[in-house]
Amino acid sequence: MMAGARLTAFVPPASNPSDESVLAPTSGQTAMVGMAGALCGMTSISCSAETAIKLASKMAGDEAAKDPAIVSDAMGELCNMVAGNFKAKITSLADHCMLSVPTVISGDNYVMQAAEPSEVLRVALDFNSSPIWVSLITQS
Amino acid sequence: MNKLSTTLLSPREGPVPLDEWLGWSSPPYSWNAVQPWPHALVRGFCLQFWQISAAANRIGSETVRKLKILIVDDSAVMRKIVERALRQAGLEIGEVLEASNGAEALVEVQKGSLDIILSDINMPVMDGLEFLKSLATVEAAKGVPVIMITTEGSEARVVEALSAGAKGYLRKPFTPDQVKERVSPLLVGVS
Repeated sequence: MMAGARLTAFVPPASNPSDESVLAPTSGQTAMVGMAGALCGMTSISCSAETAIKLASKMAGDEAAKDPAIVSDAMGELCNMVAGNFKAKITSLADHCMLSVPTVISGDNYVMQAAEPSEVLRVALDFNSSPIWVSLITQS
Repeated sequence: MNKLSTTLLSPREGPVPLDEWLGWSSPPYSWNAVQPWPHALVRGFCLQFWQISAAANRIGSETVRKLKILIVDDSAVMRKIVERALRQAGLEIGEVLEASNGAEALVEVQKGSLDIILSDINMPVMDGLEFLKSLATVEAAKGVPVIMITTEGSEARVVEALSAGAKGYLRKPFTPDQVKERVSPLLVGVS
């Protein structure tokens, strides 16, 4: 998606298929875009810091990706596009759901927690043999 | 050419040897048929030659004139992506101006001579729709096509943008081919 890469489903390493770090990211970068209106919730994209730099490099060039602000910007834009396209695919949401501007968290050992009650749909995608988690959190 | 012109335009009367015109130190042959030419005729010839050359140069420079583009997006990454897509689309891009919101873009537009504007819709300070409406009051923006870029599928916002004067829209993510498809028809006669 504008990063010149085709993503496929991420397959955890056979040596450690139930590794918690593969299933629930707690470090690196997480970009979030909130949704409000006919559907309330959040779309997020998480990956390791190294993967975020690679993504930014694909999107803006190697030189630009040396700037942490550009890396966060790239992650935010990716999340924005995912949320926007998700919204566009559901006819009833297009004109009745607003998106927030992206927010990006960087660091280690953080937990993203949505307000209850909510449902979480999370998929891990493979980008250059590294996982990228895309999550959709909806609140009823 | 300089030497020839200088020689032809010199106030000298009488026959001018061809070898002297051409700057040959030892003439391979002599040509005595060269007769004194009226200076007005020679000057007229040179003037016409100069005018034809200048016109040819001007036409040439217009043919290869590169596009001056304004990209408006609050994301620096998206501005780079849009610029790269325009170049990959095969458009002759010259100067690329950037603005991170509508207010900054208005300042750039007032400087004039833009060929096309590509603007995001969702931006802080002044969003794309407000920017589009403000453009109507800017003399320098008259006739400059605007394409809106959006991630959202909101038909209402797209319709609002088109009503406010946008010539088209692109939905992110887009490919260079999609950019070319939207932008090229708006540049007919520009370059």
